[in-house]
Amino acid sequence: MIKVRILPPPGWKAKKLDERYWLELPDGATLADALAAIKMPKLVAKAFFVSINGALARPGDELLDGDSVAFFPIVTGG
Amino acid sequence: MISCMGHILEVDLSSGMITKTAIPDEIYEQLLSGKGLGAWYLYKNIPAGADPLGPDNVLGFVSGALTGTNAPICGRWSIVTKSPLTDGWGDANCGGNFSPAIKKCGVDAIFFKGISQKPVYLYVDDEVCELRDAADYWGLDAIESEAKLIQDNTTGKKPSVAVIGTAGEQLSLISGVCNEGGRIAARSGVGAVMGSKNLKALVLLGSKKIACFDKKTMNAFNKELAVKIKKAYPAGFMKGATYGLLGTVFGKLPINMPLDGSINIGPLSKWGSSVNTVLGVQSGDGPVKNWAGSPKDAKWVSKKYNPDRLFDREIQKYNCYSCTLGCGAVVNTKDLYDGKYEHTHKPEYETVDAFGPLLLNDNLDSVLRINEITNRAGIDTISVGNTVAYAIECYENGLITNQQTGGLKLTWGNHQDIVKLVEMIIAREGIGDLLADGVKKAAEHFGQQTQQYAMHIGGQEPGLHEPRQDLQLAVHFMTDPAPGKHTIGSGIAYGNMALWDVCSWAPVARPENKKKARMPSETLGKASAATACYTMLVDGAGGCYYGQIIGAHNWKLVSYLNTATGWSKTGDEYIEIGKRIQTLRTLFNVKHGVMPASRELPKRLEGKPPLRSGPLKGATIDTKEQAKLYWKEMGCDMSTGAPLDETVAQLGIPELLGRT
Repeated sequence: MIKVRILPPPGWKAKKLDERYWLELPDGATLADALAAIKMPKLVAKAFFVSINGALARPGDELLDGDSVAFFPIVTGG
Repeated sequence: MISCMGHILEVDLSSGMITKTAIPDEIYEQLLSGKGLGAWYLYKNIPAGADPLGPDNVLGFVSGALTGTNAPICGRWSIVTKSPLTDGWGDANCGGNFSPAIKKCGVDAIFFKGISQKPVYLYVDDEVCELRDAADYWGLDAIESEAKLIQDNTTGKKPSVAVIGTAGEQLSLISGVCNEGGRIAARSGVGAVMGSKNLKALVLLGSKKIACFDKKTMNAFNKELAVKIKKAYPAGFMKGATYGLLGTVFGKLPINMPLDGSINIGPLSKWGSSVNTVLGVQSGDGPVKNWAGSPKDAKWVSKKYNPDRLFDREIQKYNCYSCTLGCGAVVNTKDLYDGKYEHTHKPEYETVDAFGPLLLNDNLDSVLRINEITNRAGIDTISVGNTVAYAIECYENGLITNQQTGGLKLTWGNHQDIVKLVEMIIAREGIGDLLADGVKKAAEHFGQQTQQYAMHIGGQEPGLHEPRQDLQLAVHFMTDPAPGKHTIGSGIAYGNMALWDVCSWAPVARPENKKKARMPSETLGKASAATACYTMLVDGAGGCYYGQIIGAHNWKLVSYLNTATGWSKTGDEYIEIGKRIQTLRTLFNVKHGVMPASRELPKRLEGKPPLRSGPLKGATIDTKEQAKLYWKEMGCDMSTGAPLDETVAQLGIPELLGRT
């Protein structure tokens, strides 16, 4: 198992995170798996850029133990 | 302690005597190095009531416990002294390569007392340690004198130099100490203390090895972070222009959101701190018009201070010692003004806001010019900017006249005369002489009516972040023994740091309504206490604030300390070390008659009266009430802020102060 930190985007109450924002996932889990685990609908996820450790990430990117997932509102892109 | 050198140098400038003194291991185990070691030494060796510019004051140059061990982002050096600005504890720090240079001389710190009869500099290599005549360097600016000292002292290997510029020589109370071409440890008036001692510079050329308990593991930690940083550069999808929009969104949100520290990695590594100018002003964090304006007064900020404008001028990026983040750069300025200065360090956010939005100045070229001349003079841009803002507001309100300014028209945004005024402050000419000791002294001269425009806390001008937006920042501005410093902590940084991963009693940051977040609370008191302790731990280790704000899950200070020392301490045990350092710094102030509760924020910084527009419209805070809750968590008296006897005893401070 791996643990990743997910700070939810503004206005979104993520599920299944522990009280310190960590989420447990099986080895080999991807970003898409993580978003599914916190019950974030794809439409909501598309309203944000999602980063892993500060780098822009794609749904198929594999997560490693200790990674941080963060969100930027899409209005800031460009 | 294996990662420390176990010795200090004590230099008596009055007698010329230099002594190398062993430090008991217990001191390092309880206080680390850096400001911890500095606080221990200064408390013991500066008599109560000592004149900060007199022979009894001590000026210390300290390295960090992790510096040189290959722990990432741990190359900061600090200066510690009694501040002539605040009459209490003073410190400042800087990056570059000077911190390991101290340890390579076989010591963790160099302390000066006394006053030399003539200008001198300290030279140290593996064989020689002596004071040398500095007559040839006195009167040169920081960059010229550093270059000449390097030229005159290079014997195969280039020395590291820390030096005062002309501002320190002229005892400007807002002067600092420079290294590596005008980088500056700027705060607390440390340059004036060095100038008062007739000490121009330190020239260090040692080559001693710095040990690390487990080098292999430390190298792996370093590599792990380097990979993360490399992947995050160049901030991927973000462009400079988007930060104004991001700031506007943050400013309009009704809630404060904790943001993961990893999102700071890319922007810091690409743009450096100046990325915060448009983000800060638009979100309400960056002050405008001497702290009385709002983004409406600076609608040009997103265009004129787009961080890409500085990025496009970059001719060379650089990293501090052991840092893979690399926020620094040199920028081209050949085409500006008379072309006298071909390049300058990329200005930090504090400098850009201080001479840009704070003065309603939309001219970036003038900020670059001021950046270079203040670096050369060795003077604190935060203090100068706040002081110029005060002068402008006084002038605009008829409290400073044309006759007093020598004909300068000190109106908002008049960048030509702002540059001239800064030149006069540096040279101590005309009105510049009255402003060269900071805003508190200036307001004492220009009279009671002008006090309302003088932004300082206990004599120190505040870093350019908004306490009205961030009650935690306000508390650190007020309660830190060196007041007005933005690098102790804030609510924004607290969310970034994820300190609850280090400290079991640190509350987890939660989304919170902004109005509610401005109300005093015990949770905030705990967060402030944890932050202050952690920051002191970072300072003791020689770590950088930017390591802190990328998050404890990215920059693993506790693991680095255990790896370097062979210890197996927990986060809570390390936080206790930080608490000990902070308590000792506070006790220093109590010893010198500065009670923590005697300091207060200017009314304007507490929203009294509140702003009428912008993200902080209507915002007011009660810093004193929140400070009491911070002191409670720190084991201090809630009415005076002084550490309680039982706290001091529990931390073992009396025993430490008894050690020699």
